[in-house]
Amino acid sequence: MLWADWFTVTGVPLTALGVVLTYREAARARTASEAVLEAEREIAIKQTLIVVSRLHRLAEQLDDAVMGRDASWTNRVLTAWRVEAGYLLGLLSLHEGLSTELSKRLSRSAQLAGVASLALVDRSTGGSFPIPAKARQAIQEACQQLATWSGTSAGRVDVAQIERGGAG
Amino acid sequence: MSGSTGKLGRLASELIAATQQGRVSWQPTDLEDSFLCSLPGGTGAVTITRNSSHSMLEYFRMDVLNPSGTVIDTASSGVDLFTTGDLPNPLLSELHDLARRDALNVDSLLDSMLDELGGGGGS
Repeated sequence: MLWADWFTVTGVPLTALGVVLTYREAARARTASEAVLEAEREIAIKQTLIVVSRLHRLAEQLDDAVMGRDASWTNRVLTAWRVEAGYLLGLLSLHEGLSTELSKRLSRSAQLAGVASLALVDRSTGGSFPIPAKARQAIQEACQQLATWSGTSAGRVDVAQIERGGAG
Repeated sequence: MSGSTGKLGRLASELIAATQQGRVSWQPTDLEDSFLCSLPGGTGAVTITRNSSHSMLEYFRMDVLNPSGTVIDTASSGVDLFTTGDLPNPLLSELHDLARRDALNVDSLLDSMLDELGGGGGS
């Protein structure tokens, strides 16, 4: 056997070792990237829960504004609802798509709120305070859906934190 | 007819067909004589409104809304007594009529009334 053949013989196990090490590195990198994605998802859920609480508060304010028959305040609350709902729809579209039941209800509430605002502006030409009944109903339905969804999402965050040893 | 108006005309025609086939549904809004259709894929919504309060002529307005309720495009069949709008009046008038019937459940209500009176339902 020539000395060059010894290189070939020892090269085979070295190559195999290299493949194993590369595979282990790749697996470790994949786990790290999955952890980053999971952390991003948790941050998004926490952001979402903050917006959800603002939406619930706006729904309460809408009731107050309507009961006070305050057209200007009602219009401001409806506009704020649309803005917050639009922000939440953007967050949801990143992770769950826009065709979920929550997104549909949220979107419909924002659209009916937009039309209700037009009705309030139309009132400037005269007439009594137009109660935004359809928008209000759609907002209440969206709030119910949000309550269920946020409970599930908060649970998901808690479970993820428990799995990581209660960090965060 | 501009590109956008052409697309709005097509949208109105498609909505007429989709409403007749029961593929989309309409609901009343807080604006008088205005009905909203949320598109199934979550891409947005369309409202169709009959406007007869500020003019001697009745005309119709179609608004296209994005998912968060902002009006992103509008077409109407008239502005006042002397001007005509972007889309023909019969097109938007037909869409409004179909939307109203669907949102207010007119046909099933009439069927129930006919059944109650013993005359039998019909389409």
